[in-house]
Amino acid sequence: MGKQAITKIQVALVVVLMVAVIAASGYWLLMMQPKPLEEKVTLRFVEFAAGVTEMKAALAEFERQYPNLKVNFETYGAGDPYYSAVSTMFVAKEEIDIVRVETWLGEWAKNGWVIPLTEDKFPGVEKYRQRLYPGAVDYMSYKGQLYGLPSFGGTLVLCYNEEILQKAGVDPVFKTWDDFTAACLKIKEKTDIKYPLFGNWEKAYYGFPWNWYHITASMGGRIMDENYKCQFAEGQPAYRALQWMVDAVRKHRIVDPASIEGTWTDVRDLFHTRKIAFEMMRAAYLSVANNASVSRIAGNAKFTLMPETHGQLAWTTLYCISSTSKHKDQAWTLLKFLGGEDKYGKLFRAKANAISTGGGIVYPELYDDPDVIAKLKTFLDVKLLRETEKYGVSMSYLTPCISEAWYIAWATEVSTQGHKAILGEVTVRQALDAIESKINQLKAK
Amino acid sequence: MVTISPENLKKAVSYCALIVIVFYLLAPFYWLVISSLKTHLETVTVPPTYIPVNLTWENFEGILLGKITGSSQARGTYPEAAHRFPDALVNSTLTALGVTAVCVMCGILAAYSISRIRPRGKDLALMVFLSARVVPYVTLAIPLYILVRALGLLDNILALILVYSAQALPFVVWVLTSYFETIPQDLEDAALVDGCTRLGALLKVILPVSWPATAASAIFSFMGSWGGFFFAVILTSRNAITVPPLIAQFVSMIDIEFGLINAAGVIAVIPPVILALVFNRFIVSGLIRGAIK
Amino acid sequence: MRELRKGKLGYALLIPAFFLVLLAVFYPMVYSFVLSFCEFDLGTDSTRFVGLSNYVEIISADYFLPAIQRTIQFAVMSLAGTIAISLGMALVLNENIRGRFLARVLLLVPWAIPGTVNGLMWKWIFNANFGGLNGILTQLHVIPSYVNWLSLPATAMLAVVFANVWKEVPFSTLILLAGIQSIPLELYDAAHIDGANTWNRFVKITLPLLKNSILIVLILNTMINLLAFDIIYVLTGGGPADYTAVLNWWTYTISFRMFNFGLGSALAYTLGAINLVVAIAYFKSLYRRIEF
Repeated sequence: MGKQAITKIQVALVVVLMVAVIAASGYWLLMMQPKPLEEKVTLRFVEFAAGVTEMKAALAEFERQYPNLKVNFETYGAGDPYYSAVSTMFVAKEEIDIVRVETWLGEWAKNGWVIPLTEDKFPGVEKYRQRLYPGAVDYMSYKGQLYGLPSFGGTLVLCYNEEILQKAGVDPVFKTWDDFTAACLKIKEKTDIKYPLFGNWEKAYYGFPWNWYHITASMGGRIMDENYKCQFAEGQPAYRALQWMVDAVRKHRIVDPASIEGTWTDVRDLFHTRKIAFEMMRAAYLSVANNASVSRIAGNAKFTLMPETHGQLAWTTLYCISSTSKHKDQAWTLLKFLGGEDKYGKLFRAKANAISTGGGIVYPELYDDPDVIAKLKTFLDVKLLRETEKYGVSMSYLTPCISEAWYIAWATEVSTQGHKAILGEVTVRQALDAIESKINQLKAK
Repeated sequence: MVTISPENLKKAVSYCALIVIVFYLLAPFYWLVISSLKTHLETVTVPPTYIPVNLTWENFEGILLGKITGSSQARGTYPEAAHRFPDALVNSTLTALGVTAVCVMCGILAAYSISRIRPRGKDLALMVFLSARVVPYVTLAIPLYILVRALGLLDNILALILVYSAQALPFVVWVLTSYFETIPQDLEDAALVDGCTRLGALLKVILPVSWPATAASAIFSFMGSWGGFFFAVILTSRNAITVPPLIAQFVSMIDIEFGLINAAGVIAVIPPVILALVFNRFIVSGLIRGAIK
Repeated sequence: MRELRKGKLGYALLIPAFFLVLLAVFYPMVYSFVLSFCEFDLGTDSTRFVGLSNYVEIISADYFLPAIQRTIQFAVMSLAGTIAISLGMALVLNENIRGRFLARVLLLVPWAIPGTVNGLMWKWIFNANFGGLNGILTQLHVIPSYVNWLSLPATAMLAVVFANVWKEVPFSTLILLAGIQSIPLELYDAAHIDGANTWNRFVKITLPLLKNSILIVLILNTMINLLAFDIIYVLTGGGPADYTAVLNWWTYTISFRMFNFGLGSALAYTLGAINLVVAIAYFKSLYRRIEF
């Protein structure tokens, strides 16, 4: 009995040893393959996981134009997960060349994770500064220095369902916010629409805060000045904007209270299934709204100017060069390709983005490009779009503190207070005071 | 005439309760399944349909075959992460199997040792298990990230196997220790007298008798690792990503692609359910003689 | 001789498991415990010892007390729901009725669903505009119109608890079922002969002998629910207006949104201390009363 047990174990040991030897030899054989001569520079490019197919095709084109450069393309979700993942990479001091940046430019610039683009090290950057919309340059700068080149610009426009407005006898022209409120009330009265507007006023920093900024911009103001002093006196636009949002839900009942959990997707789904009459959304989505295979309102989705000063929230998505890059010159070549001119002087990516995303143009010269016009014409009024671009107000102008590391923490507090006001737990005054005291608290650190 | 005896009443009540239970367990999952078989337009139809009017496989094709069709194509909402769903499935399976193997092997050795050295070892194992559960795991993320990076195991399923095994081990050791303690010493002594080594006794005597507890531990380790999200997010990216973090990537700021999420959810449930079904009868019996005593 | 060998081999057998748990569980715990007494600066990647100031900041923070309230609310409601439902389920599944196997199989489903998938599934079910719950309740005329479950303060916590309990019930049911099935049938037969009815049998035989299993379910569920995070992250993100912001939510926010790891660790260990006290309270008050 005992002898048998010992033998079994011995056999097992021998088998394990053999497997180990085979595995080791295999590994050794693989490793001993001659490596091809590596003279190419590989750039590590970190991006959102969106539009990857297109981007891969674009990067293949890049590698064709610049044969000695190779791009290692990695994606990490979009928005929050990307921000967390890449921040962790920076904390761990990993080598990266190009990163995508959205609202966190200021924080990453302050931490020294992305570098400013100065003419001496990155020749040609000043000319780009001239060619772009000033609002876009504004957004891509930190402490006066330009940090990146744009992927595309975003702006919110006021979209409406023409059929519903006609049925209610409402003209899509709103001179004042009272006009807009009255129009919504008329729609409630004359049609079967219960809530003419639904907002993506969710807690995330791209939910409630962006919508508040947007309405404030339309009322001709800003949330705070360059010294982070809040503009919350009773007649000022920021105050009026929050008051309008609260009244719209509680007093006039023209906005669905469920908006405080509303996501961007919810808004579009409601608009496309004819449950709401208005949405504040990027104009690009009108291509979906007018697509009969996925929308019930095809042909009726249009957009118009915002009330009062017509101001609209505008932001830019950009690419930056990481401070941990070991090939900054080559990274600049890739950056120019992604956000500016390719080898042949064409605004390769900007034009492709404009055509595929239906707008988001940050280089005004693209409005004269026939390809761009031809694509946009199919689902929206191109002249009107060009006009609305004039009214874009940069998010970094509305809330200069966007460049701070604690911006997202503050923006979340904005949502919390805004939601409390909409739920009726605090007054508008109290909510604004809380927001102001939070920023003073964070400013002091 | 049916006499309503207490027995019949009890049976009737039990049947009613059973129907409620089946509904309670099944209904949310049913909603998940039919939502994954609808087109996007149908999912946002009000009032909702409980049997899909336009049954479509586009969501499953989207995540299993990477085909961008139907709604996600027209709306331009296909999340790139969906291309990697099959890879994530493989990663999840390998990780869970690895965790199970490690937990069972190390757990058996440790439980044998504890049950034979310390008379009240079961309580010690329980204490270790509970003390590891006292602190929220969120805060362990950074030290673990640094450790895994130092080991060069970032974005490698070995890192996940390490972390999840360590987290499941205390529970496994507890269950196995309790079970081993109920096995009378005489069985082993008989084998030892016959000339068996300690390890031999373990293999030939203890293990065959403790199949239920071993199977139960295997299932628990597998399930625990399969659903792991937080550490998988922190420690993996492209290559070793498992199913839960991948599905989380379907949710982006602009688009929450519920059709694909639902389809992915349905598929994510299948492997563990099959596994648990196969070892079903061991789960309860494994707990009976062991931890519950 | 055998004693000596037994000793050495015994400890040797412990090493693999011990090593793994030490490396990947206890070492991080110690590290983050030390970190809770430091201030971690993201920009310069430096740590600086600051003593108890993190803990003081936590306790005096304005979110601390509401968070404790929410955590207790969540844990108590989840615990009550889980115990009630899993006890009922275990009793029914113990009966010899047809369909028992189907129910046992279905029991595996909530357990098998990964936590995040569970959260997303319920998020879709509770959706204010298109969700299944709203649909079915309206069609059955239980509610007049759609309810925004996740953004009304009154219902948000209930929704989160419901989703949480649904996923937790199988595990607890299995433990209780194991406990019930280990009760010798002779006891019931004897009681039946003595004329005891179903209710009496339940209270006098089943419950007392289940004490051990119930204790395990109580402890595990309480500890897990005090630390709940995943379900809240997915369903409500702590909202609406921080109505579902439990302590562990703040741990995540402070650590990974504000990158203040020192403060986050301090909060984590504060929560851990609360958890430990509760677990010890359970042990002290209930463990003694159990016969072995």
